[in-house]
Amino acid sequence: MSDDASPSDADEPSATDSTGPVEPTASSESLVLTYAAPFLGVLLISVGLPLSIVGGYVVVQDGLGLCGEPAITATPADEYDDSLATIEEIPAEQLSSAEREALEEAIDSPLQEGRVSGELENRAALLEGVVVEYEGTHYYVQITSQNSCLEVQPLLFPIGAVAILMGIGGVLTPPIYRKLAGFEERMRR
Amino acid sequence: MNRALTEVSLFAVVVVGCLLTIVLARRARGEPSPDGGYATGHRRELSLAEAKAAAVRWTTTTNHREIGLLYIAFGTVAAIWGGIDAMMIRTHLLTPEANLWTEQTYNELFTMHGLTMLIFFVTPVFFGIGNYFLPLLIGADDMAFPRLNAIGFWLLPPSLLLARLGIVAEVTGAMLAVVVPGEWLSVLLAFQEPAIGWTMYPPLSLAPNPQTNFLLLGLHLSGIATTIGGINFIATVVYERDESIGWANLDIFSWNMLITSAIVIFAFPLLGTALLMLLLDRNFGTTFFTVEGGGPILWQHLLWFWGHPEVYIIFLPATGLMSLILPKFVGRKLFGFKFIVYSTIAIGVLSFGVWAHHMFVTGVDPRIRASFMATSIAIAVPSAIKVFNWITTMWNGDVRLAAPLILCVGSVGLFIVGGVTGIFLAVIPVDVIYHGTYYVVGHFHLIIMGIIPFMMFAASYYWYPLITGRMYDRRLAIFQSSLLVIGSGLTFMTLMALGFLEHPRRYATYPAEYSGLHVVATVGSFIIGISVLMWLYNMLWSYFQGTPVETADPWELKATQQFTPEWQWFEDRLERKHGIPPSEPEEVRPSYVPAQEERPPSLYGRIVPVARRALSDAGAGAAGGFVGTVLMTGVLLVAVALGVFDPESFANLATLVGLPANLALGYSLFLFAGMTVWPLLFLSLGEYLPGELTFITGLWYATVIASGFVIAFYTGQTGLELVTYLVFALLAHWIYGLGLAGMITYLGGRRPTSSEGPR
Repeated sequence: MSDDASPSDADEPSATDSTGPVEPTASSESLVLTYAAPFLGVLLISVGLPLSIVGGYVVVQDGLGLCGEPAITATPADEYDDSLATIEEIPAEQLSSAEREALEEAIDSPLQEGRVSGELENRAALLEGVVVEYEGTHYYVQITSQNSCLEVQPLLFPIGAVAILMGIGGVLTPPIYRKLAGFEERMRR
Repeated sequence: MNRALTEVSLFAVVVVGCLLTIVLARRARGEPSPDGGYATGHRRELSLAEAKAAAVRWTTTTNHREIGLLYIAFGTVAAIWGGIDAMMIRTHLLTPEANLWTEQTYNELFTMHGLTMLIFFVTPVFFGIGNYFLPLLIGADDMAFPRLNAIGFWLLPPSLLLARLGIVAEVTGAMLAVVVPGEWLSVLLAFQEPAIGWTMYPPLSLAPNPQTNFLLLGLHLSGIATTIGGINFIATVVYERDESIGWANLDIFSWNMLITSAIVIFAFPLLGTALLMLLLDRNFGTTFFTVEGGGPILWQHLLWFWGHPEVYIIFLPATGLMSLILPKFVGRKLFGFKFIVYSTIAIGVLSFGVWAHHMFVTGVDPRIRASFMATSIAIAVPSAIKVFNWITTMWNGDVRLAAPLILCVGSVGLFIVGGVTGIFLAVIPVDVIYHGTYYVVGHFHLIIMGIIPFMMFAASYYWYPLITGRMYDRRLAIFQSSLLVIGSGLTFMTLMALGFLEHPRRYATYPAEYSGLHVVATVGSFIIGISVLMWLYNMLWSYFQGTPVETADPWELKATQQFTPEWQWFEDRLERKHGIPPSEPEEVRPSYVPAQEERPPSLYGRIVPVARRALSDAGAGAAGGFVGTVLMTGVLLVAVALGVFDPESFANLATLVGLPANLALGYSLFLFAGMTVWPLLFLSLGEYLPGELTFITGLWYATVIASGFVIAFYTGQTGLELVTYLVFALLAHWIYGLGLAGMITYLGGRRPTSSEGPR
């Protein structure tokens, strides 16, 4: 970096002149600070984003109830014709209260989905898919999403955030450098 | 996490960012210039009447250039929307389990990403470029059917809205739910983005989701719009050419648009018919694609009879742009013009004969499969002719560094990898192994990402002066283009690697051993995302702040006899608009000359300055050290809050000088050292450190002394805590270095390097 020149704001090169395009990067300008530093910055942002997303998510997932509540679907069995003949059938009474609430939610929902907010006693059976008789109608009920909780170290969030901030600093290096060079030159005068 | 709210928020952030850029650029444009002169532009408040007039103008225009811009703007919006889908897909795949979004959300994301990008991004943008430039290139006044042209465009916004009604309905429902009882909104919540894959294979696409109907209607509408556009392009090229332009000297981009349009009018009506049949199956009990009737394989035949030509509909305009733009930056005529035209026609014809290679694993008759294998390999020949001609055009040329050139060269490279991997996929035994893996995803992304958006960006840079009369920021453009090439290579080559490891595609969850490569692909995709945002920033900012072009030949095309008709049009326009060339005064003088007094030397004048200098240096150093240490303390406090830095180590600092272990005493000592020892060392050692500027020297100095800090204050952190401790220690020192150097510069302290005086 010792060979860095200090182009100031004042001598910002013109993009074109009457003969055609002017080279975008003046020969006196540091390639390290014009291209390498911002590249490092983008790399830091790109690494920081996944780190902070995963780390941040793990911090908020419990608070916002984003995990551990599997979603089930309940499809009326008559939509499947006879293909459910070999599927295990369990009575609605065998479902836990949370499972039953989710079933009712799924039956009422236009998307046929409900969330199990509580004890999932029949997890194994629901993962396979079962037929449940509820209020005289048979439904094919299955877990469609386990909504498993993310398990990573929360410390990834600050690391990612710092990486993003440092990255932004890197991306802004060329204009900052030119501004600082101008500032230092003004101060020296 | 709620997918719709996340996606809409991200979209809003991008839009607000764009608006902010525009507002700032406009404001900066109206400010007085620093030399005390008057502002060149004047700030104009947009009145209601003007806004109304602008709205009427832009919604009723039949001017081909304005419609072209509308197409490009629409395509850009769709690209951002589809791009956010892509970023969310990659974020989902960061972890092996489906725990950021659900499996359902993942399926919705890749379905709508594919459809949005293919249908609503690529075709409209190329039609926009075609609308703007094709009449200029062939010397036509306008498109053959200007009103039809406008209709073709205005069918697109409603079609996008229909296709993506799921998100719009969900977000509207979520917002209304704040004030309206939930049960009233069940209709809105029933619209769920389809999760059926962009190919919409039955029986998945026959599943009950009302939004799928709207998606099909939206796609049908967009198909009508595309067909209208295609007919218009053909009529324009055939009937509206200038007398001087015959088939032999028709430019290469117009040739490509012509053949693309020919494919469009054969392929899109078929898609429309198939979509209507699917709609009938879904809503009126017909059995075209059900097992009892025509069967799901029938859909695949119909879809791919449109779908494979569609690949070339979006690919050929990109090759046209490459053939047009590349020669301009290598100073040579396009090598083998005729053969490129022939290869384009060959691709146009062959594209209809390769559809079944998407169906090698569906159990179609082996003899039919073999014939499709032959045609699929054969279509590589015209594509290879193009690549050969592009490389030969570059050969021995006067290659000039510019963003479009970087994009062209990057495209050729990525296209070769994408194309060669495609030849392997055309071979049935290989396809059977790799069809369901990330190999396919990597292959087609290397082609459709590696050349299509690349050429759009290249065209945007190449013609930017013509469209706006200003030049974009060329340094940023070079950086952005390189970043795009690196990001695309990293992302899609990684997907190829995942494919080689036989990682199945389209699954929301995957075995943990693939996690590392997925993280790499995600990082690559974020690099692509950042580079796209940089392009957007450059386009918007430069529209207001770019250097005005001083010539109609910004790329020196006249020198290589490549000054094509659209630039001639631009030259005429500039001449009509400005008439007289700008004049310059014979002599110029700076608006302000600083006074330079010479001090008479005297005894007093000789002794006092030295003392004053020493005091000033020490004072500036202490002030700089104080500012730096206080800033550094802020960073360290964050590290303390995160639990990666133990404040007890400060307390122990006091014991080094025989004081009791007390935090306040330790910190005072730290502050004292930060104001005395380290600034003095900086002032004496600075000149041995790299960097012309004090700031840079300060950063280097801080980096060196950070190592000592790290060892002295280490309190047994391990793993991630250690990494965070190291990062924060370095960051704190950089901030110290900047604060120290900045303050010293501001107070006029002695520069640590030997060079004196203004450079």
